[in-house]
Amino acid sequence: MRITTGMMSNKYIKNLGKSANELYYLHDRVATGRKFFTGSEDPVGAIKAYKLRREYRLTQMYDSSISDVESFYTSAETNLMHISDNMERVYTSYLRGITGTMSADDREAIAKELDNLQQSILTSLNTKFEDKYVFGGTSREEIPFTLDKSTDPPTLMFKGLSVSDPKNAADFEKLKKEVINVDLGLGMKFDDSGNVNQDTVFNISMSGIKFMGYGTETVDIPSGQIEISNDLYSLIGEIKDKLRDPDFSMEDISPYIEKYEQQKKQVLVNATDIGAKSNYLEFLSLRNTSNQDNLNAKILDVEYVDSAEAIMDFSMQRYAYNAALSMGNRILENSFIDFMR
Amino acid sequence: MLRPTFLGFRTATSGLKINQSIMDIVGQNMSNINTKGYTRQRLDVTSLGYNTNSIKFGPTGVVIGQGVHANGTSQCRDAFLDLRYRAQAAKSGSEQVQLEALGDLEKIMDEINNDKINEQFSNLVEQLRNLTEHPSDPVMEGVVRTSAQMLTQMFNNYSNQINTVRDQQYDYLKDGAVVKVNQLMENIAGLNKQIRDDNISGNPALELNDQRNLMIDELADYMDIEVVTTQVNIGAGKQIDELSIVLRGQTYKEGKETKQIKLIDNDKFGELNINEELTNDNKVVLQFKDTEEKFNSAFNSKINGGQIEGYLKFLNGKGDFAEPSPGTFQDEKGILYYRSMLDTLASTFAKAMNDANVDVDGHKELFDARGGGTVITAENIKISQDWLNSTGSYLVNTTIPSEGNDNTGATDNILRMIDLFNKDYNFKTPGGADIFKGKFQEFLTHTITGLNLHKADTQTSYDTYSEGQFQLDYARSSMSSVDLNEEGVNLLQYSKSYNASARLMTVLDEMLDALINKMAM
Repeated sequence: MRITTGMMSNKYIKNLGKSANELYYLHDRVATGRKFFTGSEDPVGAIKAYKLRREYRLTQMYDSSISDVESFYTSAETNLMHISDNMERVYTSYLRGITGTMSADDREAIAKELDNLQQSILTSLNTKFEDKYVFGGTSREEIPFTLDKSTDPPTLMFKGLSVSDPKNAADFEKLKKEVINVDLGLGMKFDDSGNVNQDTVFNISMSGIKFMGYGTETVDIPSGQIEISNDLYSLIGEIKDKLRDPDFSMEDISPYIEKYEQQKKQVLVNATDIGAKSNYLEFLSLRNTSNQDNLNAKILDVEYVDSAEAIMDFSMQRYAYNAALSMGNRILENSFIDFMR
Repeated sequence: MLRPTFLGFRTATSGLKINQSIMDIVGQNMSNINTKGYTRQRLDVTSLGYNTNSIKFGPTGVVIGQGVHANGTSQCRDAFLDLRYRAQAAKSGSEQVQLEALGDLEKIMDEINNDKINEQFSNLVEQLRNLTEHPSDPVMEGVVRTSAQMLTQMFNNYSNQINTVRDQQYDYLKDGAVVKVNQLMENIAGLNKQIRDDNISGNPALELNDQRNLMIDELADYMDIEVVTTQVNIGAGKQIDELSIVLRGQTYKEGKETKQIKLIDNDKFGELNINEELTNDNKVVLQFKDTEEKFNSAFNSKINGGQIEGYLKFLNGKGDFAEPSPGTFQDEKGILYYRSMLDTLASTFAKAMNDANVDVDGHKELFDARGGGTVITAENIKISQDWLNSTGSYLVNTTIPSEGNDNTGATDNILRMIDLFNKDYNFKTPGGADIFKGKFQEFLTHTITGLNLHKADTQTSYDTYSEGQFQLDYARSSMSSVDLNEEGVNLLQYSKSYNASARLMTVLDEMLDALINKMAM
């Protein structure tokens, strides 16, 4: 083939341009650590990258949800443990020691203590976490437990319904089952009718009525039958009444104290139940973190270069570019004209 | 045979003259070594010998030639290489236009280097998830609303930018390519006339030929053309070439006759017109009046290759959204395809969200169309006025409220909204054809990576064609361009032969001197 001066310089310029382009591209790689800068450079990589990024963002969201739910649970657990501890303390220090021969003054002192316990139980169950009542179920604004002072003794109300009224039992049964579901990455699924599959979400609803109890229980005593309140507040109120009763007798009060013992255990069971769920949350958090680490490793693999390799590539290209520059000088330097005499 | 006394002087003179001419051509070649489009010239030389066939009256004995003769100047050029080069130029021209336009589109939509609409979808999900922790909280709902608003604005922004690219490409076609094609056709026809006139008077007009070839090369970048030369007898036994340019392989019927579409016919030339202003949804239609002013109908279907084709593919291509009987290039994935994909996403998304925000009182629209239409597109999607104006809680947080108490803390419907982003949808064209099944973000990724692939493909085709074009140009240069070494050698060679002819003259002179002055004295 006939090669002319113009062809040589044209091809040289073209190749030099190519080489310079490649050099700057590799430089960008070293400088940013990225494998590609637009999707069209590596469409398959881009498809993978978008998918991985989406999954990674999800794990980030799960991460924050899990830690929020964890602190919510911690708050609930603390409050229930507080109630349980108080009940235990009152029981061991006072109630256990009640005898039929106690003076009215001694009994009054215990009753005072029970007043405090009532108060502290109410405060604990009406506690707020981040502007939300922990034991309010699906309500946000409404205070869970209130006292209806129009009666004597005041009636305990849960969301406006009297706790002692047996007519409300069905409503409380419903309120107990209220759910607040949170998606913690358990693969949330809805069925065709738009109801969530409960196994795929995490229920954080803790309706206070579940811990407080409601309605009454009929208990047999030698002299017949009595109605004892199931809810802690009224139960303690009834114990107080018995203590302040001038005709105080051990037989009268002991069914109530037995009930107290039962309820105390129940509170502890509930508190440990929440503790168990906290452990589960911790497990979820760990699992999520390891997912996140895996995804991160994959993203690095798909989108980012090994910097040693990138620098190596760049150096090789620089070498090639320099070689091209010096070659150009040699090739284009002389022609026949330069050697004519 | 009797030799005329001064025969040798003629031979020597012709040698001097021819070598001088060759030196002049070497000079022309060397001075034009860097002239674009210049074709290496040469002197066509034959040796001369006056002969006769008649033994009776002609010379007898040894017959010796009488020098050298120049027939004319000509160019070292291969018409077949020109043909191949121009066919390749049409291919690479088409790909180049599409590549650049797709590059603009990719700059808008690609999210590899920065997070855009994809990220905003995730952000909206995140805000909804935050809302599940504080349902019905007006402040948190405000955050959700802002996030949704950002998303709609991004849709609007994408759509606007896409329309800008569309307008730009239309302008490039209308004020660039079409104008340029018309200019080139006019100029080539002008040169045709000039070259023809020169040829008739015996001037080969090589430099004008170079100019014309350059322009034809340029025209080939815009359309797939074919150069046809016809020999015309101009009398006195002389023939000249006339040049016309037709669209390769494209014909039209006139009566029973099949005719080629002539862009240029010797000194006549056609006219390309673009017949519409660009509105929201129309396509670009070209018209062409050929040299006989006969072909004048819609021209799109006759375009095959060249930058013009690239523009039409990009501007008119609707891909999956093409009408049932698609016009030319509508099946291509052009800008209208990508815009419609975004529209489909926007409307599917808005519908799903609106359908999810329903409570006992009925629908509470979250998104609607700006300007009040019923069709939501990426361009007009916005937050509904009701949502924008709401001060309290507007998002429906539960659809299964327990009777008679405060359910503002329930989350079931918010979860349902979050689930919308995890659901598979059947994305369809307005005509009802399936395009894609998957989640919102998957559809978006599908659109973007589809564009990525499209651009990568176009890049590959362009690289192939333009490399081919370069190689063909290289081959052409190999034949036509000037080489310094060669011309240097020529300088030496022809100056030597010039000297030799001059020397011949002196020697002949000495011989005659000997014959006339010194013999028999």
